[in-house]
Order: sequence, then structure tokens, then C-alpha cells
Amino acid sequence: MTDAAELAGNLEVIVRSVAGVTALYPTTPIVVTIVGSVVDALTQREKAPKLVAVTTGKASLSVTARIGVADAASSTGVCRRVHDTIAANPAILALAPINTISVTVASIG
Amino acid sequence: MPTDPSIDTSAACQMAMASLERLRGAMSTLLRDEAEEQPARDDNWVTAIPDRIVLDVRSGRDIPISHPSPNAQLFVTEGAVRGLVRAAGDTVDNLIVGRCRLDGELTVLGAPITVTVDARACKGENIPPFADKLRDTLVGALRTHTELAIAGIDVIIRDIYLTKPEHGEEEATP
Repeated sequence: MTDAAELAGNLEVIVRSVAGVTALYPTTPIVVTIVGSVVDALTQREKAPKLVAVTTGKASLSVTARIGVADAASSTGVCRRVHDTIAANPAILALAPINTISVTVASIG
Repeated sequence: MPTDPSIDTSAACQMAMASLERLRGAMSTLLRDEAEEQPARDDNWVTAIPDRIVLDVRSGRDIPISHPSPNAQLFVTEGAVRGLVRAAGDTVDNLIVGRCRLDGELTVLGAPITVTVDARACKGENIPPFADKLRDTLVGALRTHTELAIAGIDVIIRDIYLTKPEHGEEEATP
């Protein structure tokens, strides 16, 4: 069975492949990201911002992604396609029932 | 300068960079033409634009996108929409979009929203049809990318500073 961390990595590749998606952004706020980068630099840890978040609850899981969309595409359409692609992923369905899939368009163009 | 992942992976930073690049491109040609024809004057309005861009690219409120699944939480950020408005507005020739404001209950699907855009236009443009052209461009972009119920788009031409080259006069000169 796939664990949440491995699933998050797989979903990152899948979301990037959706037509109209131009970027994936960290799901953590910019301030947290900057602080994390500083800590990473001080501790010489490998920088690996989380781009698709998978959180597991008692008996369900939630997925969060923040994407950039091409100007020539439709943000609403791309956002729905990303949701539908995640929802249809067999690894998710095998892991736990879906609680929420949150997709936010953070930039256009 | 070394790359900074916190900038490269930030939607807000990337939108700010895109806006500043468009502004630099427009200013480099238009201001040069104007500077050759005009005496020195207060350019505070130019320095104010980047400040507004920084404010406007903040994520702001989450604007919902409809989906039949009860598990779906889909949004486009207010910052992304403001960036879209500015980028679409900048495609209209002889115009630079400054401030953009979205008024209304953005977080409620279907609530009426009013868009207010401040812009700077070149001298010589007929403002009413110019504003209509900008409105049409913005409506097209907003309908493509959002489900906002646009109640109105207010265009405020704040300044008429930029001067186009007078090609007609050059051609008329023997």
C-alpha cells in the first residue's frame, strides 16, 4: 500500500501533467516557506518544499494543491480537471476514503 | 545572483515579477518618447505602480469555483484574478493598468462583483471608447478564468502622461 508521503510525490507528477497547469506552488504560506528555507540553509538540509499535501485523518484523507494556470487555458476548467484527476487516482482510492480535495489557482498566465 | 527557491516557488512573487517586467517594457519605450518631448516633472506616479503591484499580488480572498462533488474545494485567489486583470489590461495598446480592486462578496458564488481599475493612458486617446475596449478585454478574461458575476467594471483614467510618437506629423513632413 502507498503511504501518504509517497502518494504526495506521485500526485505532484500527475497534477503537473494536467493540461493547462504551468506551475505547482507550496501549500504552506510564503512566510513559513521562507522560514523553512532559512532553517534548511542553516541546517544544510535538502530543500524540498511540499507541492502537493496529503494529510490523513482517522479514516479519510485530504489533498491540497496550489497551481498556476496558463493564460490560454480556463482556470475553472483546469482546476476541475486537476480535482477530477486526483479523485480518480487509484492509489488514493486504495489508501483511504477522500474527505476533501482542495485545489487553488494561485496564478494565471 | 543565485536563485532563491522561496521566490521561484511563490505565486505572488512570480506575478509581481511578471507585472514589473510588463511595466518595464512599456516604460522603456513610452517614457523615452515622452522624456524627449516633455520638461522634467514629478514621476511619483511611476514609483507608486510597483508599490500597488506588491499590494495587489497578495493572495487575498479565495474565490470559489463550482464543482458537483461535495468533496471538492476549488478556488482561484483574489491575487491571481487581480494579476489576470492587470495582464489583460496591459494587452490594450497605449495603456498601463495600475491599481485593481474587486468589490463584493468574493467568497460567495454568484454574488455581484464590481471591478475597479485605475489606468494611465497615452495622450491622444479618446477616453470613452478606450475605456470600453479595456472593459471588453477584462470581461473576456474574467469570463474565461472565473465564475464571477460581474456587475460592472469601473475604469478610472488617472493620468494622461505618456506620449506616443507623432507618426502622422512625421509622415506629413516633406
